[in-house]
Amino acid sequence: MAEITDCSRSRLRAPALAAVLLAALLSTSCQPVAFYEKQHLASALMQFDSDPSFDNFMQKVIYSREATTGGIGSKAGGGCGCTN
Amino acid sequence: MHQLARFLVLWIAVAGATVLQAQSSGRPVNGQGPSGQQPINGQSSGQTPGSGTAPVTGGLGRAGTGHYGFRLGYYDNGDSGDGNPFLDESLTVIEPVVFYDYNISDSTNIFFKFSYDNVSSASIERLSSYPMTQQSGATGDYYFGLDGGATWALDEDTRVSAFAHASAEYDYRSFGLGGSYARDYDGDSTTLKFSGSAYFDSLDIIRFDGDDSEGSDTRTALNLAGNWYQVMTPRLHAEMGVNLTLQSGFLETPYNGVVADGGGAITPQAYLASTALQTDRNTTGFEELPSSRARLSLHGRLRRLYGERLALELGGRLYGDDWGVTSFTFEPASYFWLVQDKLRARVGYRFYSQTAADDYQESFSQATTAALPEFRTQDADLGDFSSHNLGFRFDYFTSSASRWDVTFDYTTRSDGLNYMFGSIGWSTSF
Repeated sequence: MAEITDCSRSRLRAPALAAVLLAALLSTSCQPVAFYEKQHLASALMQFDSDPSFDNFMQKVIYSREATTGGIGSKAGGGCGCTN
Repeated sequence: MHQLARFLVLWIAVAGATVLQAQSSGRPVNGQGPSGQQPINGQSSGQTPGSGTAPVTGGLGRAGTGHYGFRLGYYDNGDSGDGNPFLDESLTVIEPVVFYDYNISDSTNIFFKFSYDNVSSASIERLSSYPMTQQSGATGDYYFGLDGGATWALDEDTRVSAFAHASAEYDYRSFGLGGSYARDYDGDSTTLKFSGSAYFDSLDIIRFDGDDSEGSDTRTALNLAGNWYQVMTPRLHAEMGVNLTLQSGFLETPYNGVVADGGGAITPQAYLASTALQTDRNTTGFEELPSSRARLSLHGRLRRLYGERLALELGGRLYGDDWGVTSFTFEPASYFWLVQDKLRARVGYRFYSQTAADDYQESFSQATTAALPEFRTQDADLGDFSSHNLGFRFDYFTSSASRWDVTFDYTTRSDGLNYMFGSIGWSTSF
């Protein structure tokens, strides 16, 4: 059996943390929210993808420097000569 | 590492408190109303400027309204022997982008985006010194990209979209098509969205020594994605998604070389100082990678508003592919008003960690390229590293319809290939 090093332990911690966060999210009961209660969600502080021009720029930079892809608002790739 | 652990614990505590409060504050009332989610496809250049602007669902904006703007982006990374020691990977990119979207009716939105990249890199400079004066296969010195598409509201709860993409570089051309289907449920508190896209690329194979005798090849990327948006409480919403990408064709970077260093007989310093070594094909081989790749990512984020001036977000992503790369991303961010309704700030942190691709090695000890393994790469971006990114953004709203923004991000990587990027943008709605 392969020896578990400090490095591999730290690698295991990250997905474990993600799993905890995911479980916390899924365990939350989603209760219906009336339209008149949603004004807070319409706040400029609460908009997901409020600036696609910046999101596209950031993802283009980040994903071209990482061996990964996929995420919020991302596209499949293509259009650049990079490996990723 | 201990500091990072403390940071994670703090954010988890905040998230935990948020979730607990969420569970106790929701009221079982249903109704129609805004969902807080951008109604336009993520490919669009649309935005939601200003504060208190209720996002529109069950349709698009009113006929005759729209947005336009521009962004000027800047990216730079140096190279002082980090990453691949046999390659100077310094790179600078300047990217202006203009975008426009318009609601031609209450149920139809169209958008366009044009982008141009000006690239300066060590690889271009090196190749330009050769008689053939070819440019890098990895980084042409210019890039033109055009995106256009439309979104249609089929009814109060259903939207479909389609887009097309075309781009060209010195040695690379790409054409893409895609579309999506989104539907709202539970009084717009839930949105499910499914999207797909396909990119068909062709590239000229220009090797590290400028040789272009191999002609051109193709690369295809197909993507399927699903996204679930959920209003959880009056102050908390979240989204989760899955992305599957299948790539096939010529997936190498044709310019990338792999150095057979004879177990240290050729040092990086000697290699970089010698054009003869750099062009000797007994010493430098081509990057070779499998002709297909399947990639899967899961991501999610949740954001909660505290009072009227602060929102906190937690985001993360898990990724894996059949090249052996796995990664984990953790992204907390805060959004707050420095001046209510006038000056907004975002401070975000991003931790990223990836394992190396199976075919990656930092160095190859073979004496000649003939002895190199069938698949091989020294591309540091396919290697094992982690990174920390700190990003800032400031939005200044000149009116309820217009804003300027400035962004700056700096990333440190464990392999030393640090980089920074920033941008300035302006947009307005009409």
